[in-house]
Amino acid sequence: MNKKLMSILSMLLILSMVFVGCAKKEAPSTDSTDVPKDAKGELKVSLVVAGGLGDRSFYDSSNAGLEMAKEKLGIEGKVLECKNDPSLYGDQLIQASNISDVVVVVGFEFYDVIKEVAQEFPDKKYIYIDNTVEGVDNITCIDYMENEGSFLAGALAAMATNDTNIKGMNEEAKVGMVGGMDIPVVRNFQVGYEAGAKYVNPDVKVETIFAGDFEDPAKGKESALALYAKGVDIVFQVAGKTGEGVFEAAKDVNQYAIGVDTDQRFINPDAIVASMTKGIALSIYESIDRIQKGEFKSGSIYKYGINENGVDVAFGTEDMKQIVTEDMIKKVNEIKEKIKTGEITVPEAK
Amino acid sequence: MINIKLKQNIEYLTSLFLSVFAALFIGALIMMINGQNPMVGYKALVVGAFGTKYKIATTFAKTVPLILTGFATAISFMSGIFNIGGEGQLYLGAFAAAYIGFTFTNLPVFVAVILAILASALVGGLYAYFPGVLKVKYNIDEVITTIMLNSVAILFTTYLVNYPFQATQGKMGGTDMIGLSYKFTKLVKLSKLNTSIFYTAIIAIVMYYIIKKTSFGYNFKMVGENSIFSRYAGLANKKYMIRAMVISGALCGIAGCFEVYGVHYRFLQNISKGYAFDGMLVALIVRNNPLGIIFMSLFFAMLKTGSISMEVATGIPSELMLVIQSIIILFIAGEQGFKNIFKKFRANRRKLVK
Amino acid sequence: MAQKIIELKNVTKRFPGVLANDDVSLHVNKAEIYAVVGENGAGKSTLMKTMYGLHAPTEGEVYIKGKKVEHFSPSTAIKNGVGMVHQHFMLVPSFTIAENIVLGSEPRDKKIFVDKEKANEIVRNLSKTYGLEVDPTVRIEEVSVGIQQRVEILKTLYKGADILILDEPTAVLTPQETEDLFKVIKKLVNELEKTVIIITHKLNEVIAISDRVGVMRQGKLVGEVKTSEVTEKKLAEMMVGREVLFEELSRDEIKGEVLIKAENIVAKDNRGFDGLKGVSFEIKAGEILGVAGIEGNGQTELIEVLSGMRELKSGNIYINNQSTTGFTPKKIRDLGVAHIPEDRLVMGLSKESSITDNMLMGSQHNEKFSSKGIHLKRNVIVDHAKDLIRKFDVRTASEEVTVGSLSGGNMQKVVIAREFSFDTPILLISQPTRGVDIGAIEFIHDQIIKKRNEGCAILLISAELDEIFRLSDRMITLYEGEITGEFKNGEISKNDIGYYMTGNRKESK
Repeated sequence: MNKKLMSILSMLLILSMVFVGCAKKEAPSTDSTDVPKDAKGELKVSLVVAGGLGDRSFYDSSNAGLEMAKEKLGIEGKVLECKNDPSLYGDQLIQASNISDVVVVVGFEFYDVIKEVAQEFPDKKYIYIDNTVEGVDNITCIDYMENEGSFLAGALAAMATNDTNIKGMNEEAKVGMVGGMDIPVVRNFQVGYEAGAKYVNPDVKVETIFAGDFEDPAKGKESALALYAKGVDIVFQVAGKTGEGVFEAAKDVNQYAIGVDTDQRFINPDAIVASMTKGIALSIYESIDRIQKGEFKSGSIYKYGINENGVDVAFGTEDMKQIVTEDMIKKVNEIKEKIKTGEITVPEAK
Repeated sequence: MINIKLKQNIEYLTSLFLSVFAALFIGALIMMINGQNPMVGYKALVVGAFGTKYKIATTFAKTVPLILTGFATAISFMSGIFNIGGEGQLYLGAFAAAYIGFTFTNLPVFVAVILAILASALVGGLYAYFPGVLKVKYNIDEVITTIMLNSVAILFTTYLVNYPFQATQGKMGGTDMIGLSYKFTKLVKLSKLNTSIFYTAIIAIVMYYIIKKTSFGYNFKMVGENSIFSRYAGLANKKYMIRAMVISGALCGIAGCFEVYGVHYRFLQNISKGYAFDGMLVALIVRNNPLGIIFMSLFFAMLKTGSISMEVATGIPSELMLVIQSIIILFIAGEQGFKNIFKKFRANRRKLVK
Repeated sequence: MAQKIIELKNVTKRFPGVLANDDVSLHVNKAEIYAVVGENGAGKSTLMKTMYGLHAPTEGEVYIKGKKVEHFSPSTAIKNGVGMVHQHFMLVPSFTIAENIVLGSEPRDKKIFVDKEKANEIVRNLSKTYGLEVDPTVRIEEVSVGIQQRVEILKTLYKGADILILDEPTAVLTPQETEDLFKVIKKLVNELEKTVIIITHKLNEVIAISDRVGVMRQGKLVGEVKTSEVTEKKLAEMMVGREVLFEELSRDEIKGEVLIKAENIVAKDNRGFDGLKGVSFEIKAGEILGVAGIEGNGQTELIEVLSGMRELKSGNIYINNQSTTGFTPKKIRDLGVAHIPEDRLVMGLSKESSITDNMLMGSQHNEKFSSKGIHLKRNVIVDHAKDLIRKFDVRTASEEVTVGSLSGGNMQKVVIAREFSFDTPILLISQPTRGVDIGAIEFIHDQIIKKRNEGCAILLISAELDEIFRLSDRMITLYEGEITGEFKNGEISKNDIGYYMTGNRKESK
C-alpha cells in the first residue's frame, strides 16, 4: 500500500512540476517593480485577466493594449492573472480595485464578480471586455460581435478549400473549426463561421470539434488532426492557448489554419493563412485614452462589430508571403462592405 | 520511554517543519537568483495573507474546500482505496446542490440548504461508489477509474451548464443563480468567508471523531494498513473500502455545494481548479492526520492568498508557491531518507563532541 | 597453536537508551566454527555488526588478524577478509546468479560491458572449488531459498572473504538444505581453512556443527565453552539464565466431542493447482493434532481453508458440527475459532499500528472495548493491551510502539496473546515458534498445552518436528496435499516419520 501511496505522491509531484513549468511567464514586463509609487497625476490601470498571459491570443492582445497605453499615454499599469481559477476572480478584482483607478477586466467569466466588486468601489472605473452587464454605473462593457468576424473567416475558408491551386488543398469542400469549449461565446464564433462558409459555397461542409479546454495545446492538436484526417484542409481555431496545437497540427500535415483574436500569422506564416481579429488592444487603448482625457462615458455598453472596426480578418504583415489569393482578399473585403451596409445579416448564437 | 507516541509525533513534526522550512529556504534562493529580496517577498506573502481583516477572511475562506477534500482524501487513503476522483465528485455535488437551489427557489432556507447538502453528498458519494464497487468486485484499479471519471464529470457538467441549464441572463458559463435567500451569509464584507466555515468545522470535528475515536475509524485504518490481516481478523474489507469511498465522495460533493452556496451562488463550468488535488496534497503531507489537515489547509490557503498579493507588491511570480508546495511534497515523500541524513548528521556531531 | 583471527577486547556498544553489548571480550581462532547463541535481543546481531564493521563500538577494541581495526565500514571489513551473510538476502531477483555474485566487481569486456561469459566461468570455478553447486545462468527469482543462500556465500567468497559471518543461516532452510549447508561449512573450515562464525538460536544445530560456543544474555557474554563439553539443555539454561522446564502432556485417553471435522477437503494453491487433494481428519476437544510435513505440501492451504481465508473447492468442513462452506473468516471466528497464521507479517499483524491496536483487532466491536460497538474506550483498550503484554511477556518499552519495530519473537507473542485472549474452544496454529527464541518457545508451548488441557481442539502445523512431537496427541503427515500417515504420539520416532513426510504411505490397517 505504501508503494502505491508513494507512486501517487510522486505522480502528483510531477504533475505540479508540470503546472509550474507551464505557468512560466512569457510577458514579464508587467512584473517590474520600478513603477514610481507616487508619481503624481499618473493614471493607474490594472488589467485583470481570467486566464493567463502567454496565450498569444486573447489575453496577450489585451495586454498589448495596456502596453500601448503605458507607452503612449504614460499611465501606470499592472497585470493580474487569475489563471482560470474561479476562486481568484474576486480576489484579483478586489486587489486591482484597491491599487488602481481604472480596472480593465478581460473574460466573460467575471460576470457575477464584477457587478459585486464594482458596486463596492464606486469611484473606480471598470472596463469589461467580452461580456455585457447592465445596471452598474461604473462598468463600461465592450463586447465583440465575434459572429461577424467569424463570418469573414468562414467565407475565406470556404474560398480557400475550393482552390486546389494552393498546395495542400484537397478536392473536398470541407472546412473545420476547433473550439475551446462548447460554450455560448464559442458557439457565436461557430454560427458566424458556418454562415460565412455557406454564404460562399452552400455545399461546403463545416466540421467542428470542441477540445474541452482553453489551455491545452495537446488537445488542440489532437482535435485538429482528427479534422484533417476527415478531409478538412483548413481549420479555424477558437481555443485560446489550446489553439497553438491546431497550428502545430496544420504544420505537421502541411495544411492550413486560421488564427483568432489577434493577428496570429506571425506564429507560423506557412500554415496560418489569416486570423479573425478582435480589436481588443485598440479598444482598451482607446478607452484608457478617453478616460485620461475625461471624455469617457461610464456605464455604457459598446458592441463592436465590423462596422465599428471591432472585428476583422487580418492577413499578417507585409513581409509575409500570402497564401490566399489577392482575389480572395478582395472578395472578403466585399463581404465586409455588405455586412456594413446591412445587405448581409450575420446570424447570432443564442 | 513513557510516551513513545509523543516522541514519534515530535519526530514526525520535526521532519515536517524541516521540510516546510527547507522548501521556504529554496523558495528564498529562487527569489534571490531572480534578484528579489526574500525577506521582502515573504513579508509581502504574510501581509498578503493576514494583513487586513479582508485578507484574513479570504485566507480562511480558502481553507473550506481544502479541509473537506483533505478529509475526503484521508478517509479513502487510510482505508487503502485511493479516491483520486474528488474533483469529479465535487463538480457533480456542486451541480446537484445548484440544481436544488435554482429549481426550488421558494423553500424555507433551512430546508433548502439541508436538501442541497444532502443532494451534493448523495451525488458525490454515489459517483465514488461505482469505482469503489468496480475495485472490490472486479479488482479494476480505482486510481485509473476515478481519474477518468473526473473528466467525465467535468465535461458532463460543462455540457449541462451550456445547454439544458444555461443561465437565462448573461453569459458566464454557469447555471442560474440559486434562490437569493439561500446564499450563505458573508462574514466579512467583500471576502468570500461565509457560514460554510462553521459547517466545515462541524464536519471536521465529526470526521476527527470517526477517524480517531470510533471502531469504524479503527477498522478503516486496519483495512488500509494490511487488508489480509483485517480479513483474517474478521473485517469485511470490501464493505469498509466502499464505505470509505462513499464518505470520501460525499465530502467532495459537499465541498462543491459550499462553493455554490457560499461563493459563486451558481454552478460555474470551471468551479474548481483542482481543489480535490490540493486537498489530496494536504492529506498526503500530513499523513491523513485530522489536525494536520486543518493546519496544512490553512498553510496552503495562506500561500495561495498571500502569493497573489506578493506578486502585485513585489513582482515575484505567484507560481513560486507551487514550487514551494512541490518541494514540501518532495521532502515528505523522501522523508525517510531525510530522517536518515539527519540521524547521520547527529551521529557525526556526537562523535565530534566526544 | 590456534591463531586468533578475530579478537574483541572489552567491546561495549550503546544505542540511545539501550546497552546492546556490555564489555564483551572474545576471540575466534583460525579455521574453527564459532557459534554465538542467545535469545532475541541478547546482543548477538549488534556484536556481529561490530565484528563485520557496520558500526564502531562505543568502547573497546577489535583486532582482525592481529591488526587493530581503526575505521569501521563494510569496505574495510571486506579488505580484512570478513564477509557477512545476512538473514535477509541482499540479491537482485531479476539478475542471474553469476551477475549477482560478481555485482560490484564485474569482469569487464573492453572495460565497458560486463563480460557475462567470464562471469559465468568465474562462478563455475568458485562453485567447484568450494563445493557449492549453482547454475550461474539462472535468475535468482527462479531458485529456492537454499540456493539463494549459497549464492550469498559464494558472493562473499568471491570478494575474498576468509572469515564468514552467518546470521541465522538455517532459519529459512528445509532440514535437507540445512544438512547440505552444514556439509559446505565443514568443508570450508576443514579443507580450505576458512573461519566461520554462526549466529543462531537453534541449539541442536550448535551442537551439531560448532567447535566453540559463546553464549550471550542481555548484552553480556555469559559463557564461552567447547561444544564437545556441553549439552543442549545446559546451553539453554545459560541462555535463559535459569533452568528450562517444559510442561508435559497428560497422556490420558481423550474423550471430548469432535470440534473440527474435515471430509475430503480440496483447495487450490496460489498457482491454481490443487494444493490439498482430499484430506480428512477429526480433532476432538482437548486434543492437539500435529501436522508434520516438509513445507509447501499443503499446510498453508489446510490452515487457510479451515479459517476461511481460502476457498474450499470441494469436500466439507464442520466446525462445532456446523458446515462452514462459503463462510467468511468472520463467520468462522464467530463459531469459536482463533487462528495463529504461519506468516505473522503477512496475515497476523499490522506493522504500522501500535501493539495496542494490534491487540484490539477482533474485539473492537465488543461492548467491553467500545460503547455500543462504536465509541472506543481507550482506557480499557490500553489496560487490556498492557495486561496481555505482561501475561505474554512481550518485551517492549511501551504498548504504543509500532509492532513493526519489535523483534520477530515479540511480534509472535503479540499474535498469540491476541488470539489466545479470545478464549475460543478451537485453535488453528501454524508455525507458532518460528523465529522465536528458546525462552519464548518454552512459554508458547506451555500456553498451547494449557489451552489443550482446558479442553480446546487444536490443529498444530509446524516445520519443527521437535515441536510436533512435544505437543501433539496425534499427528498426520502431509505430502503433496495428501495425508500419508496418521500416528499417535509415541507410536513413531522422529527419524521414522521422515519416511512418510517424503511421500511413502502408511498402509491402512
